[in-house]
Amino acid sequence: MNRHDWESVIGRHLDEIASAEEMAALSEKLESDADTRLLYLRLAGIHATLATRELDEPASGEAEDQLLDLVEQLESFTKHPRSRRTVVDGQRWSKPTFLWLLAASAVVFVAFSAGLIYQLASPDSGIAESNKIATQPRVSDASIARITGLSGSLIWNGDRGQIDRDVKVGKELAGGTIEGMAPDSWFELQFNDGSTVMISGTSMLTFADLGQKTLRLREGVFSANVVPQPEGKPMLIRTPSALLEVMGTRFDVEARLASTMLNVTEGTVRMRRLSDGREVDVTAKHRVIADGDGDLAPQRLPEAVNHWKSQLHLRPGGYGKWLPASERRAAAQKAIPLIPPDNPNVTLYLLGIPVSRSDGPPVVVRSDSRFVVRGRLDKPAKVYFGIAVSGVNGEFAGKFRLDLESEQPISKPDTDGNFEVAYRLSNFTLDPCVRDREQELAVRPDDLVLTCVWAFTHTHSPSGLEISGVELIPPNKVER
Amino acid sequence: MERGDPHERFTQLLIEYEPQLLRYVLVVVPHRADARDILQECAVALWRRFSDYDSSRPFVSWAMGFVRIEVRRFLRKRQRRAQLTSRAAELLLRDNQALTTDLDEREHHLKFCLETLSGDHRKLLDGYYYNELSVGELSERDGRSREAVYKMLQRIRRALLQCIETNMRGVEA
Repeated sequence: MNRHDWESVIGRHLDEIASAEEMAALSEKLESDADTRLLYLRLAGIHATLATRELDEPASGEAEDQLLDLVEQLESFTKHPRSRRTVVDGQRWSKPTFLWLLAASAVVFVAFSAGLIYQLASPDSGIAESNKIATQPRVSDASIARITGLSGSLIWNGDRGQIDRDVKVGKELAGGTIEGMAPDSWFELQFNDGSTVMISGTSMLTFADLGQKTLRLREGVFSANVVPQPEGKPMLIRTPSALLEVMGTRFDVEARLASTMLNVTEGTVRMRRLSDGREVDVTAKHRVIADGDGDLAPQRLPEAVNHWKSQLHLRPGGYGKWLPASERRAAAQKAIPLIPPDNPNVTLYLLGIPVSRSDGPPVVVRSDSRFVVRGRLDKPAKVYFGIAVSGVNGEFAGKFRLDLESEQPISKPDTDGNFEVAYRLSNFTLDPCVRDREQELAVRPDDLVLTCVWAFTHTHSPSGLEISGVELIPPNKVER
Repeated sequence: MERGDPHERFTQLLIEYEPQLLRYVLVVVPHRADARDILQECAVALWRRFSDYDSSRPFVSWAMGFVRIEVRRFLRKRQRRAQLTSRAAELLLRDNQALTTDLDEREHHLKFCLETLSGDHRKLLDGYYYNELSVGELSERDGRSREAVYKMLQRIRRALLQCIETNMRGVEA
């Protein structure tokens, strides 16, 4: 059998229709051939990821009773540990999310002893009696936070698997995962105690508050303004490479696959590097980067600069497909299709490049600055260009675009497909997608920290948009 | 650094790593109900032995040992449908653990690739994975034969794999 045949057998196994003979042949092949094992793992990995998302869905209809039963079982288990297996073996759920129930009920159990059930289940009516739990809202349904701002493409995935592409300001959330799908995505959440957290760009944040705020920043940029947390229950933020413990402070974090960068504006944040367990306290106006086994000593935040140039020859941009340099052309970031969730009939070709994100200094835009953008197009097209800015403390300050105030000319590539266009900051205006929060945002991007630039085309077919360089040139500086 | 009641710590860890453990099981036991059963047994075992857990070490590494034991036990005793041999499963679990370094990146690309699927394909995947409709139900719903639904699912997964590989190459190049 060739690779294609094995793909079919693996597929039939994943869909549970493979015959005994096929399974025997597949097992034999897997036992002897590493390449087939790799092929299997890649296909099964896709199946497992998709199926796991489904498994996060709630058990329909029976959740309250199951939760109550499980709390009783846990109490019984705590008193009589050896009887636990019998109890569990006797209870199977049709769509169980067993672990979620187990975990949630453990929290309920703990909450009983701590008196926290009062806050979780019935904040206005005194301490709830245990036999009323089934008639109270589920713990996981209790709102822990409210959306206070958003823009761009976002998906909210509830803590039990429901997916919502139509999230709105004011929506109360009981936890879950919010995902920014594009470089211009932005989302702000306010917990019930007033602490605010924000993600921007292509980011993914999971959040929960079961008596202690626990967040997981899987990737992307995250800022927070945390009010003092209860003694012994700091806000915990996990990234792929670090664990942060926050009692009350302002800071921002950028998580990538292999590193986490923490900038602290006020107060102190404790960071633990997961690879070796080393901890460090990062104080105000300091930064630390956890990556591999490098130095974990905090460094003072560098002074701001007004000039910035993308470095696509060194590393990929944040959104789009990175094209490394070749003998014939410079490195570039290529736009990829994006279908806005609120307008599925439109396909944009979008790319994004983060700015003040690395271990470099913050980049502050001055009022008379200009952007020079170089790139390639397959055909003439309007290249829409925008920026995102934040305040010095990392708080989101707005998104601005040039093409709204003045008619955006069509960029015409030369015979080699290259184009160059300049955008003056004085012509930028607030992006319509954040106009509903106009009162809270900056009127102009001047003197704010540039966090991201992005560009897109809106044509009926792929424009081939690639950006090979973006340069922010401050007033009185000659272009390089 | 993580203090507090052991139940609470266990809860937090389990909530955080449940999807990862499930994925691990599903790779070698693709049937979802079977995977849930394995994880259920595993959760009980983890709970019982949680006092042995050294919190300075990654929870997942510790939990994976329990998962492997439960998977082996399952493959030995369950004969109601054709399964991989224990040896093949063991090799897959070993290799899979070595592949975790680019897991986040692959998931990132998978999300993007899902967005590029046609409406029909996306609808089929949603029905199969998110709404847990059987192939028979999907066949009736969409007016296709069962065989056509199976083939389409295989084609979609293959296309997703190709899309992920292409994007990974684009980033690595």
